[in-house]
Amino acid sequence: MKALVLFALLALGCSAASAMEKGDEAPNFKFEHSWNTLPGAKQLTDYRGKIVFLEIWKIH
Amino acid sequence: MPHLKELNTKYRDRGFELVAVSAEKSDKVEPFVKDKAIEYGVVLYSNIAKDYGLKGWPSAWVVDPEGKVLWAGNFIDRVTDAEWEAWLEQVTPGKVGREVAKELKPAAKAFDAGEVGKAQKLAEEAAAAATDDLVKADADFIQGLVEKHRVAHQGKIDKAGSDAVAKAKALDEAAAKFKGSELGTKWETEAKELKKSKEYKDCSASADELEKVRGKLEDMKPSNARKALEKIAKKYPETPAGKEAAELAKKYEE
Repeated sequence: MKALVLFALLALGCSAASAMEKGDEAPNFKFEHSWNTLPGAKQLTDYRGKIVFLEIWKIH
Repeated sequence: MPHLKELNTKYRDRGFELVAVSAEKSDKVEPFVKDKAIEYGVVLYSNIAKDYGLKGWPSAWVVDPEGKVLWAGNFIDRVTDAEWEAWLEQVTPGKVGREVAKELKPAAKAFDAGEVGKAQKLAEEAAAAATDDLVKADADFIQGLVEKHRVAHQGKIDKAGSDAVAKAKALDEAAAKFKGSELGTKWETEAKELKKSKEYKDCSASADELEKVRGKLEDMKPSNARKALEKIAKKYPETPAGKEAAELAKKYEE
């Protein structure tokens, strides 16, 4: 039974990345398009040295 | 997103940056950014939900200067001012936060009162007069804190780019914080010079005219809206508001 639960957990773990939590490294990503960003910033790591507030938008 | 606008206004000169991420197409996002005259960063990244393991919650994060997540959640309104202060302390300290030699007490007091320029000048003077290494070390420490504020302000000035109004505003804010130091005087002079320039006057006048028209667009006939916007675009072809008016005018073409 234990093995089965472990197997199920592993399967879940592989199915999707878990949500980013406190202490995790924020995954870097390259901007496909940008407005009003810092001069020359092309990806999230270009914001090192700042406190960054990231929010996901859904407009439509 | 009024809460984002408020955050941006409150902390933008503290080494704080706001980045809204959308997975939508640029032709959907662009009109939104322009119509709402959004000033903070907006970026597109189609894989954001997968990379960040988005399942509805959390959908917002605060990331520290090294790229680590400080906070994850949905309602940024629930973050207190004290929490923000603690995070921003890393980038732009508000207080000296330790004991310093008596020679540096006036500088530390000025710094704690938010008079960064005065603190810089006093720390420089104390460092020049110091014979004791401990006094020198304390002067270095305060100058290091001042440097963080300088970097944050310089970043804001650079970010304004060719937008003369935004640049003048950033220079004014920087000059006020650094009042009493050489750098403060330099920024103050730059702001004054900039405000006298044609570039600034055009930038400011075109932004005002666009704001007036923007408020009336919805009640106008499309052909009249287009004419009003094209008039601004033609009068001020080089300013950000002029360019924006040209873009907006396209929406009202038959």
